[in-house]
Amino acid sequence: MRDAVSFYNSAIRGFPAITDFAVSLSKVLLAHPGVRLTQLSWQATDDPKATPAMLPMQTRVSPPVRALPKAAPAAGSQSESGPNAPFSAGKYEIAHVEATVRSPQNDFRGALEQVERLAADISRVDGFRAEVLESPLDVSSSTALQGRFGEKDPGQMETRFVLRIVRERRKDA
Amino acid sequence: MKQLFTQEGRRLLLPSWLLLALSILAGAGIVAGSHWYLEKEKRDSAGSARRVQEARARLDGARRERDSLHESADVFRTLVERGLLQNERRLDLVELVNQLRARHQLYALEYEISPQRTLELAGGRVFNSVDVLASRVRLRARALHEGDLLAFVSALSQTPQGFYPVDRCLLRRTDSPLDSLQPHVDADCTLEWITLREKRRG
Repeated sequence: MRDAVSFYNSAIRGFPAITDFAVSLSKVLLAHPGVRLTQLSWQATDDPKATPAMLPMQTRVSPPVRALPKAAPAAGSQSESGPNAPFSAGKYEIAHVEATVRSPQNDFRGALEQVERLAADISRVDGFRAEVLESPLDVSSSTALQGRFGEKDPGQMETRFVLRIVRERRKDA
Repeated sequence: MKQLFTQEGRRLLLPSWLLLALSILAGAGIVAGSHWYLEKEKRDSAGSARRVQEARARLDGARRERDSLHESADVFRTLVERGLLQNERRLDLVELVNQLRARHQLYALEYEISPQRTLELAGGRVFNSVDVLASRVRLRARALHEGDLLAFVSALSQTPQGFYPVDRCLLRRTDSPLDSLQPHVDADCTLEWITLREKRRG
């Protein structure tokens, strides 16, 4: 009996649920109507550096300026997602959230600010930590940048970004 | 005055001197004895207090143990009721998934249940009396709204029969137009279906 109860208490009782995570995230997103979620890859793990698998999606309308991707991002490794992977106690919930942000055409500064604000708002939620993994426009000097302006100005643009969110389970939880 | 220091006077005072010396010795003996007795009482008292404290600690420990056993018994009963100690009943899971699919109006649902294996626990933890077994279940579903998918996953992991902790999930928006009655979200989730088996005693 003791072993069964001990296993339940240590491994199952406090195991995180994606719904709790999604509800907390939704509450923050309510205050950011310009942000549209396209993908959420969530994982319960004991490794705070784990990378949930995600394939980048294309925005419906490409922004006039975009950074060219360096290389295809690595998906989650087979060792941690394979059928024989060890079962974690779910100490961390890690999510990569892909979304688009709507802003006036060419207002990349505004888009970057919106995303930074969103990450800061998520980090204010108890136990959450968010960082911008891919910003709406990668302006680092190591990346190639491409601009393309047509005759028509659609007035608004949608830029893609990715956030990494880590939620650490509290000991008393 | 002179008379006191004569031979006769000293002889007359000798019993008194002796009595005085005896009284002083007796007094010193009484003081030493009292001190020894006081110290002994203090030592005894400290020893008794320590024994009482130890007995109280043992009593508290026994009470905690009793409460923990009560709590463990309650948890154990729940685990038994939820089938943690039973063999997998795959037909039950097939029916449950089908029932939840209909309840949460999923457009499409595919699932794979891998062969059961001994579950490797974090840190290589093992238990003396039970083996932890699990079957990895992979679900792929499509729904009109992400709420339906999340409700389905939540209902599955909270079902009163079995334990199905979901450890990874990918939710993606599909390309279908927002105003169409086509699935707008698809999900790819994996979970472990966990059961325990009592170890056979050699």
